[in-house]
Amino acid sequence: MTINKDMSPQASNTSVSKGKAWVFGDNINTDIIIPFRFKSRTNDPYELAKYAMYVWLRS
Amino acid sequence: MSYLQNILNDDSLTFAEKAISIKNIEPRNNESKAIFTAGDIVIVDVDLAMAQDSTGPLAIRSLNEMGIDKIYDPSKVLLVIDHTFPAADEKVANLHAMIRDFVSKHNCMLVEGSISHQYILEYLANPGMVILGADSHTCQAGCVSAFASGIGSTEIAAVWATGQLWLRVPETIKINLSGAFKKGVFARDLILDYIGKVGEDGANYNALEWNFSTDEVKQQFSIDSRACISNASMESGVKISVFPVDDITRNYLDQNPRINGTQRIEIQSGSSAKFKDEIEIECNKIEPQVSGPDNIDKVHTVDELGIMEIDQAFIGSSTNGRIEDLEIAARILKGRKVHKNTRCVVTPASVKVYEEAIRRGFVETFLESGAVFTNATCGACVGTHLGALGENEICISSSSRNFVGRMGALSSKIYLASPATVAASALEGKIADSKEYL
Repeated sequence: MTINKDMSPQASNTSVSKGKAWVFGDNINTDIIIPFRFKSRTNDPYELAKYAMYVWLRS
Repeated sequence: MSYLQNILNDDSLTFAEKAISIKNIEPRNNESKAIFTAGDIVIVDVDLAMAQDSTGPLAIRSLNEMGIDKIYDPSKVLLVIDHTFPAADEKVANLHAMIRDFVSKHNCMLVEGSISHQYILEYLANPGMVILGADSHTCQAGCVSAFASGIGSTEIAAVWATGQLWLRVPETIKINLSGAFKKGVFARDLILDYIGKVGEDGANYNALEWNFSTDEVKQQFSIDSRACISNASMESGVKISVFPVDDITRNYLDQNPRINGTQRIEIQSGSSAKFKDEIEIECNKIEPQVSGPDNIDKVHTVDELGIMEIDQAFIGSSTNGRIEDLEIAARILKGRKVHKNTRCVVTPASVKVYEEAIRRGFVETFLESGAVFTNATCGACVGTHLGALGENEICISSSSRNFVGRMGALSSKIYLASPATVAASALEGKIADSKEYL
């Protein structure tokens, strides 16, 4: 992702990040990312990962 | 004229442009550009940074991973235990304990047992503040003219560390309200109607500026009603959703003094400000609305829906759990009984609302009707406790969202509506118009 020139003047440098992007489409709200009843019971990313995109994976 | 006044008096700027420009950190660094417009990315000072009982633990974890052990200003950091309060089980209780430890260590604010957005409205929000929260419906504080928006957990951790965040100035859609609501039609119906028309991405990353065409129109919109609209606007993708400061706002703030020593900065859009769009909403043309199931922008009138029997009726949440909402529900339920096949759960949005509901006799009414009155919490809205849904169950709810599985079983269905429509539905055991009960 390139940071555009509208960025604060003190940051005149641009940077590019590379990595894997999962593209799920438009209008992804927090319920789609993970149902609250799972998110409210742990903050461990490995536990949370089990329930990520929970509804989509089951429909 | 001061730098601040120059911006506030600038006739060419929208609310969002002014609100962000005045919080820009740059003047402290003696940089040149003072005015920012739609599309600009600006680093701003954050007046209030909130997280709740699921995003809080994630933010705390992020902070630890970043090696930060000091937060920028404890008086501006708010942790709220609201979604599953009191704790429903051991896992939730442990996360709550983590929040309390963090608060104890950093001496920041902690609220338990009131929904974050309602507490912020009752005690902390002032016009002109930049309020960011790790919860979607943080935009609710726009009802008192704050620049209020939801951000992610790791982002709020960054705000806690630095006191700042970069924001892109949103474009603004100006909405002019006219006309009088028909009987049985309320603020929730207005915003559901709007979302149904524009879609769940209809106002993506936009600022909504709500305006009243006359004083009479304005009188229909109490702070409670404005809070509903600002809150529920989120479902069309907004960045912020704001109302102007007027006598109703000032009366509310005078009667509910802020406890965090912040000041009001009244921001008005300029008369020559550039809007992305300008739309008219005639309140008299709106019918009682129902959204769902499964999609927020699948909106119908109650009549169009036909017969839809319900297992549960829920009145509550940050969207519609205020005293105005409980008052209309009590008015409809008074002297009547909830349908034998329907559970009716009423959950106030805050301790303040809870206490007032008792004082005004609403709780007695709810209990006599056969409804359940719970402590203040998000509760059934997020399906963690106090009213989850089983397989194939159908719920009508005044809460914020109806996505698949939000309240429980993936096969359960959620319809969203105003508290009046929910209460009438609770009586009939099916989705019903509230008119005849008013």
